[in-house]
Amino acid sequence: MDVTVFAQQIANGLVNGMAYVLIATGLTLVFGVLRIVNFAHGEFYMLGAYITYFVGTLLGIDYLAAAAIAAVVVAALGIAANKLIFWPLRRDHEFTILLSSLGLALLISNGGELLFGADPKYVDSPFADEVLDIGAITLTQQRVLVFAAAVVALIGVYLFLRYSRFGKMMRATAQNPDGAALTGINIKLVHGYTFALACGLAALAGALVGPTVMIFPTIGNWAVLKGFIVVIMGGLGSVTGALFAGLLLGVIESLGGGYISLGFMEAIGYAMIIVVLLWRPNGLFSTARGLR
Amino acid sequence: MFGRRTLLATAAALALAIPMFGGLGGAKAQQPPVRIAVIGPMSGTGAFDGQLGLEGAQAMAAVINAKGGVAGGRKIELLTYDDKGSPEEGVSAAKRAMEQDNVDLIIGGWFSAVALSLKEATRDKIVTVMTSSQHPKVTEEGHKYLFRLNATSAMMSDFYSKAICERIKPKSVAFMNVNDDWGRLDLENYTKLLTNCGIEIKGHEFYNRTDTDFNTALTKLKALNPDAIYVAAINTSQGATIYRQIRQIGYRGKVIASAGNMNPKLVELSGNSLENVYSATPFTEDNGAPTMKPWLEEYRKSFKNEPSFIASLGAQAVEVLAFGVNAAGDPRAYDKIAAAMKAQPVPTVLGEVRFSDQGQATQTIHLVQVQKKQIVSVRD
Amino acid sequence: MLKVENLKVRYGHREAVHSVSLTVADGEIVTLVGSNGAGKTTTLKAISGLLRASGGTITFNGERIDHLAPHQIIERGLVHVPEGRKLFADMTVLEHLELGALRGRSGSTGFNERLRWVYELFPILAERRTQKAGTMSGGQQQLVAIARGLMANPKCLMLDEPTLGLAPIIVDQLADTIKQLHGSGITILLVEQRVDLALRLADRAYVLETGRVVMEDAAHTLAADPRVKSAYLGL
Repeated sequence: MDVTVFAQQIANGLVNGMAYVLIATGLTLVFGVLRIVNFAHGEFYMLGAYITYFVGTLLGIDYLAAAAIAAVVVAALGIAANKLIFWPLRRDHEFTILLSSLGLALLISNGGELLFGADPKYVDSPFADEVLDIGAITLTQQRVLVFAAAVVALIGVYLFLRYSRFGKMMRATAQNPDGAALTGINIKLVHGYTFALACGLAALAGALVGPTVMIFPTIGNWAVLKGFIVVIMGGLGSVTGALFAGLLLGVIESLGGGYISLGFMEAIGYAMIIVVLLWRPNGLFSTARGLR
Repeated sequence: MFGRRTLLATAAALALAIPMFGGLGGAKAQQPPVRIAVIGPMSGTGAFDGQLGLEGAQAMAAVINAKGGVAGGRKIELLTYDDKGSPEEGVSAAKRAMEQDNVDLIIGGWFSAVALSLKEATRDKIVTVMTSSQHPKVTEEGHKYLFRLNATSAMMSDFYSKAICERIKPKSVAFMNVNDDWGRLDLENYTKLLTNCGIEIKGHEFYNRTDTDFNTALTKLKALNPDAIYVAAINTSQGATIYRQIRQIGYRGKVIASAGNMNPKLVELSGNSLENVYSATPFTEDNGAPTMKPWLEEYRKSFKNEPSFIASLGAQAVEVLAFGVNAAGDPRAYDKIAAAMKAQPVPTVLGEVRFSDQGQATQTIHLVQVQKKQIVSVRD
Repeated sequence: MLKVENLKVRYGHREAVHSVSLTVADGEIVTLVGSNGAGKTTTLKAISGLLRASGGTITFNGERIDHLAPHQIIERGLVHVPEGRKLFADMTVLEHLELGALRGRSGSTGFNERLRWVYELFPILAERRTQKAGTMSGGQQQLVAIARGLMANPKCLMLDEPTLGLAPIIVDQLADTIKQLHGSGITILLVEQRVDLALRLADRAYVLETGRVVMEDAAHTLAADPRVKSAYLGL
């Protein structure tokens, strides 16, 4: 086995995996706190990429600032989506909520096709084509940025959940919604902010991954699929689980594609879900319930 | 509510009526126009291709009309029909064109499936020019008034393999092909053709049509250390990602794009990573054909898309019909028109085109390369 | 202080509380007794805003509160310590107390003062302040739940089944604690399965049956009533 190629595939997998983690963290937060399986999560990833593109090309703002703007704008859109759709439906049947999130996903992706056009676009980043040689491994600056920014964002999320007053309110709501309400936690506010955080993270992922690929209005499908694989593997509602599961998926896909077959790469995610569900039905890292 | 709907309907009717009667009214004062139906995918998933083709045809009609039209001063008038990319809609559009609108000639057949049923609807009744469809049966089982412009894939690979062997001359090649019927066939063809001229085939990877990231596959190909990487990608967004990632993984060798899959959108999306990449296409802006320059000017003046191969096929269709009508002197003298088109090379925007007895065109194919973000012909 | 009139509560299509009216005056201990499914817990949940009333009115200190969210009701000084404690299993005792103080009635006492008071009432919680609630015993968890409620500085505390599942010796301690809280000026509405204990602690009592109030009287009068004795005290 060629050590250089092996190391390169591991590095490729870790970068892809970190992007999955960023997508999945928001998905798992929304599930943990709001008990919503949000099929529209990938669309916020798509919007993040497109807003970065348009802010960059139309307003001439540089890439990093555009990415930050995209995350903030999409976070606001997340608050709006929660206020208009999910909060009013919170006492409805789970199935109604599930269908509404599917409906929202279709609405955003079709709306995106109308608004942005179906042709692919490229999010320009000054780091996209700059190649870094790290020992035997070759990565672009953009891919290093994907990894580094995701690590920083995730550490931020961890500290926020662990130590901030709002993070404690979110954890309390996830662990016992009625108990949280009777403790004086404003549940509506917590739901709104959780959605903002989740959608902001999805948008950040879109803005970061955007320059490594091409974007088109249906990339949300890809994002939500990867997100779900990671969340199911890591355990619904588990942030730590999403971290390990995401990196694991990235590396296994990369090694599977590299040493078995590329055709197998897509199947790996599903195969891993089946194995995990058979072996540990609640996911690799989950206890019965609660945000960790 | 009712009022608003009526208003909309009236507006739509007016919008449809104005160009038709307006065009007729203006022409009646002189001589009757030559009416050509353009049947194509104006809505649905193929809408972008349909739009490009129609734009190309419109720009060429404008160029010809500005120079005095055809058959002694008659203007060309194009009527648009939507086939929605479906065979049934294509047939019904052809019937409407022939029976209701009484058109003189038909351009259509952007997709093979539509072309195959369209040719039956027009069989021996009207001169029909099929455009981008590549299915061999379109001309093999055609009719006496049927022509097809696009080169078949066999014509393309004959030309391109020779160009790779004799002009690009890589010592070894690794393939990066899409995992579908076309991609597998393409690999098989070129493996054979390139091996024959002594190029070493280092290996291949098949990627999936849904893949968005290609680092894994390209890392493997790079490790084979080939002199050139050959990429077969139809989908523009996958293609652009692959060309970018080839450079991003640090590969510095030659890159060869599959024939027919080089277009301005791909160049725009791929940034610098397409620099020096080769491909083969019947369409190059610098091919020296006399009508290329005026057509490009007209096209860029009227439309915001970049001129493309699809658009040039629309233009070429109008040109070959104009040539036939001029030679016959009458847009309804179908036997004379067909005979004239097959009798001699027809000068067009894509250079001289020859039609076989079956009506299949032989296009001049060019080796092209991206230089300074422009697709230019490679000459000896 | 608290006035509930003709309260109706529905779960989907099923009405669990048909018509409940009750009042709690300033400084009282009032208890709701009745068998399982009589609507006691549902009544408390409606008062604290966890469930929406489908009819009737709830007023607290003269203000309608039946359209407010739970945190807004807590801000007004009406705090509900729920049945089953509803703690946050992965969070520490101290985190529970911090969260409890978030929306509390603004009063004369600050967070640190209240924390000291709660630790004085329940010294075990001071010892266990960094322990996760999920790892504590049932009795300790009940203390955490009450302490969390007290951190909101309530004027009126609603306790739902505080003694459920606790050992007898702890039940007695809890009864003392309730008396102590009442002594410090907190009005108490108590829901309790142990009717004997409830009637001993309370000034007045309401008896609920299938979503309706069927009796109300002074606690000692009801304790002596043969119907109550036979139905609830097993005498």
